[in-house]
Amino acid sequence: MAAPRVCVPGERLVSTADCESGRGTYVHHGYIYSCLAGYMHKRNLDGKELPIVEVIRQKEDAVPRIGSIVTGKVTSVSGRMCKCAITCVERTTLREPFRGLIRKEDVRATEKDRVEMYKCFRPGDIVLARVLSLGDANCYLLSTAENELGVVLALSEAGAQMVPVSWSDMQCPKTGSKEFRKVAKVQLQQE
Amino acid sequence: MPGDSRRIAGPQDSRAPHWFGRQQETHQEAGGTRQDGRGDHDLRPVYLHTGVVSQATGSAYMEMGQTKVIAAVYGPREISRREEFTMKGRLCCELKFATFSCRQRRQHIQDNQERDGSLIVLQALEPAVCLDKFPKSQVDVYITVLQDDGSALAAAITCAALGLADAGVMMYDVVVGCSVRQCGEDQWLDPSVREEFRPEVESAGDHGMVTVGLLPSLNQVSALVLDGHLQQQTAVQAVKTCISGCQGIYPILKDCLVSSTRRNVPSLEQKSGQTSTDGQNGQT
Amino acid sequence: MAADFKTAQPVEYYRRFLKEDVRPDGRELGEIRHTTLNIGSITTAEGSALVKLGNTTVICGIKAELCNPTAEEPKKGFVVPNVDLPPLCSPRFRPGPPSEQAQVVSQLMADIIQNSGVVALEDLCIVEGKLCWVLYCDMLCLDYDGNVVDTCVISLLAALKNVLLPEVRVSEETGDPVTDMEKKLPLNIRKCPVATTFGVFDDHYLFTDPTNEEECLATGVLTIVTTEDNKICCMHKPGGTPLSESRLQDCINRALTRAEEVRKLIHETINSVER
Repeated sequence: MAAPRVCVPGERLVSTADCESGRGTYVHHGYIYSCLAGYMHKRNLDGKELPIVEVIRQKEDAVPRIGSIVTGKVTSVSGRMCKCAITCVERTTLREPFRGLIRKEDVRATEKDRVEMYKCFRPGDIVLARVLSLGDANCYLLSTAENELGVVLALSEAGAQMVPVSWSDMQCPKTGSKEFRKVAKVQLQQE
Repeated sequence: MPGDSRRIAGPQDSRAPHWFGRQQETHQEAGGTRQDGRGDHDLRPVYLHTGVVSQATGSAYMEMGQTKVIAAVYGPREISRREEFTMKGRLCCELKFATFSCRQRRQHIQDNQERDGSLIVLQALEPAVCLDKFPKSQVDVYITVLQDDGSALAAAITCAALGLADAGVMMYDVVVGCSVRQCGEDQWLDPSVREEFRPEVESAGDHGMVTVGLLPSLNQVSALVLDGHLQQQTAVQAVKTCISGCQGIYPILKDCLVSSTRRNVPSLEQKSGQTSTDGQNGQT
Repeated sequence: MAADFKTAQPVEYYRRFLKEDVRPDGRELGEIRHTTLNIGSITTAEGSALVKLGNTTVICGIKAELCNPTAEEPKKGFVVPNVDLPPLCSPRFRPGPPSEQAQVVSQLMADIIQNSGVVALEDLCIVEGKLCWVLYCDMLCLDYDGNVVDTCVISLLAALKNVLLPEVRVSEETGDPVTDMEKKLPLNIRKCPVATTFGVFDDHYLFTDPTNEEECLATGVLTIVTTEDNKICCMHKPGGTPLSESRLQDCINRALTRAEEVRKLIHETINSVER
């Protein structure tokens, strides 16, 4: 098998008559061009006549998009919302954080009006969240209203890493005291 | 000049030693060849390398003869200044000459030449970058000229574009820069600093410098700067020479980018053998 | 998963490595990153040197200019060191005036030059009270991966050793200086200061040559500058964890060994350039 072809931005790949344009490519005057320096791949999709041509450089995007799962560190909590610094998008670790915001109504799916922010997040917690929208000029709007989303890692007042005991409580292994959090249901790694 | 309290200050007034030197030797010998023995339309040796700044998303280093330029790309990252929401990304360029890069020492604070240069590089790169791929984020390009031996602006454009490609920023094409110095009848491609600052010959009609930024595979000009005064035909001819110079640099840039991609980007597990070979019907 | 753990809990991540007496980049606690040196690559400067300490890169270019000495010190010239940490070298620096860190490092360089006596300012005087040299030593960081101080000192010393100054005479008729750009003389380097930086982690672990990540996590930093006659010419410890006398002594001994290695490297590089 030959080594995969490496192309550079602006390189003409194939005619649109032969392929469809996928990730990392664009169409110009009937031809598909690369917009990355990366490896060219062709894939056949079920139910499509033409194969898709893609140029791949890294696994995931480095910018949060609507629907992507992000990891963030809580920076501040108020009665109405919780601010966090997004450090990972999907599985890509960012070099610099983006600002994110979880509003009170997006914390959980049920009993939205009974949410108390201070019983859900504390500064320093690591949370998993889904990007709802690009938000305003400052923040991305995030949501934790799914079982698998919420706090995954938190330190107790005594400074120890807490263990989840229910969807709304975590326990400190040192002192045994319980603290409230919007706990994420831990998923097994799918690898 | 106002004092700069954040830096260590030297004496109030100082002058470069060459001010007091004997008369400099004449720049150009008679007869076609240039000082370094090149033909009028020859480029100097070009060296390109990517991934020189470990902290940056992408970076590049370029040498054209003695001209040395380094560029680092950061982002896409959060827009630093508070601005209105945009669905388009923003590109920011900053060009800086190191204090020791020229014969005359440069100041730390950005001067007009650097501001102009930053804008030209930005305008040269902007048409090539897919700004709609990173909404409400910005990509910063910082370029420093470590030594200016002519054509620094052209080198900055090429180096910055290579840095962007190394960072994996989506682009419609790379950008290559090249300069031409027109001095009377003589037209020199990729001028050195001595050729750039050649004093005006009294009789010469045409006297100027042209810098072009080219999207080489789309064959479109993204930036064109003309200083001085040239007759229309000469100007057109100079731009053509620039474009052919850009096309001469492009294969080097492409080679550099391909080999650095092979080196640094892990090839994804091949799903099937159907790639590559049948993908060659495009132009190379 | 390792990467996730590192971003979520950097301190705990680091602690686990140190328990095994190893650092995340594979170095031992006392190990210093590979140092490379390139001297004289910038021909527009009177002297220049590029130093790489692991990823950290600093280029020092020295421009010499002529000026009048001050009335207070008519026999002395000037050495003006400035460290630039531009936004190019790391995402932590933003465009604008020098950051606090850059100012601190610049001042530290000025102190090292003065305390070590690397260049005697009297050597820079040409005509007493009338004419002297000013050496603008600009250190530009191109890649910031920690321990910029040690790198700056090496680049400064190597660049100073690379300096060639044109001969200057004062014309008897006009009293103006006349330089001979063809005839160049090296600078008299009287001392060779070399810096070694240590980081302290969790008030207990001591490691040399911290990277950017390690600097962010360290609870204290200590820099020791020594000259070839085994004297300490500068010590910089900006707050942080207090250190006991015995540990300090240990640091000093290690700094002396390291300084010897660096001087040897500079010496060898200069010799290889001349040949």
